[in-house]
Amino acid sequence: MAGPKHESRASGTSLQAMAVNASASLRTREASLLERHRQGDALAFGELYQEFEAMVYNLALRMSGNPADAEDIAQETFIRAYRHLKKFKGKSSLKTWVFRIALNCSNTRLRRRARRLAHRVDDSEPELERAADAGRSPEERALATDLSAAVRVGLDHLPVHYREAVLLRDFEELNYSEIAEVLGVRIGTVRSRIARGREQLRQWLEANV
Amino acid sequence: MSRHLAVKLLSSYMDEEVTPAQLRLVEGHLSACTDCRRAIAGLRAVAAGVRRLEAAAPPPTLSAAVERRVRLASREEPGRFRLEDGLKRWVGQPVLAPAFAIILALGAILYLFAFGVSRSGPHTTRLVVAAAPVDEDTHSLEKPAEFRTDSEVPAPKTDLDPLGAAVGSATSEVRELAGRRFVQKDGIWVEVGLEGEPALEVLDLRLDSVRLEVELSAFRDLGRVRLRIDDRVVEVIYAAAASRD
Repeated sequence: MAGPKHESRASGTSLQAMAVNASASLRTREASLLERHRQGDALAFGELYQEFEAMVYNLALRMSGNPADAEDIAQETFIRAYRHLKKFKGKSSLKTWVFRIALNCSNTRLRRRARRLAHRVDDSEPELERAADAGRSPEERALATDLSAAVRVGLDHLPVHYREAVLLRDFEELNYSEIAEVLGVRIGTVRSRIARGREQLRQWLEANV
Repeated sequence: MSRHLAVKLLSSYMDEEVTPAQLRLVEGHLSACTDCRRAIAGLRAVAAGVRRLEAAAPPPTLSAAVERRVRLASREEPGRFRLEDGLKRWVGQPVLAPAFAIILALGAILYLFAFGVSRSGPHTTRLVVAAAPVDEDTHSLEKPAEFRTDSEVPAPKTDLDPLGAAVGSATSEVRELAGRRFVQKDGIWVEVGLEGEPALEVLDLRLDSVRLEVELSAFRDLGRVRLRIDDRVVEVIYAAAASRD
């Protein structure tokens, strides 16, 4: 039994060739953008911002589960990207580089939130899980009857490293090797985190919806 | 079917991230195993649920805030004292990097004797660990750097930037040692110019010269600098982080 994606394997060669071409063209565009930025072209960073604004904001939103935090995280991500763009060596794609900064910013924010909460509440619930859920009102929790809302709430209950792997794969649609670049881990680890994240999310949905 | 497929394999299969042999194995197994078909259907439903999450529009205030901060940052650039550039010029040569490390190590030893190691008397202490290694492109720590303190003091008012650097607040007196200036920030002595981003300045050297990693830490009234140059490690214990009550 073939999965839906596997059914289109007959045209795999041409799809692969298209993917390679698209990737080469993306790298060329990124290289040119970087060169312009290094030459002091102020518009170059603007283009980078335009390209990644929505992706970074949404990743931050899904990671933090809170629009206010997501805005701060996205802001911090772009400022850090701006400060370090000239030193970017192009070993990864610009997209995975920006995502990695965004996840670092998200995790810093989550840790800080967890620390704040740890001073206030003392129970056995994992801090990051509690932090992710902290911004939610009872009304928001009730909305979890809707499947999308339930998925959002369920994501917040995943351990952070599973959440980021699942989001990068299923929400941002990165492939395993890109996710490995973003997270700075091996592909085998990516494979495990995605599988465990999906499985935990499935179990959570089964128990709560 | 006596044995079912692992969730990891099913999940990778869904993503077309399997070898041809695994592909044959999974497809053969799924054609005969209802439980595994059910399991993969569950995983697919979860993935589809995440994929269907609506992308939210970034708030309009975001671009204005980023633009304002970028403008500020770009204004700081030309006039800013770039210690890292100066260091790179001197230490960027591979042959000079080990020499630099030794000088730094000696400096730290001198620092130990100049400031003295206080092992007695009441004092509060703080610990900063900027953990290596750091990713070259993102300048971020591959594992989270940690701040820890002893039980007597609250967490320091510091934060981490993506470089894993300690960013302190209040400054106090400046002391000079071997032409290098140190300032006490939040109870931790740091070199002037490095107080904002100590990890960056040194780790940058690694990018242009040999592999150089640095771990800065301070515990009770002792600090430690550990330098790794290629496979060699130089470790120096020095006095630091003592702010007396």
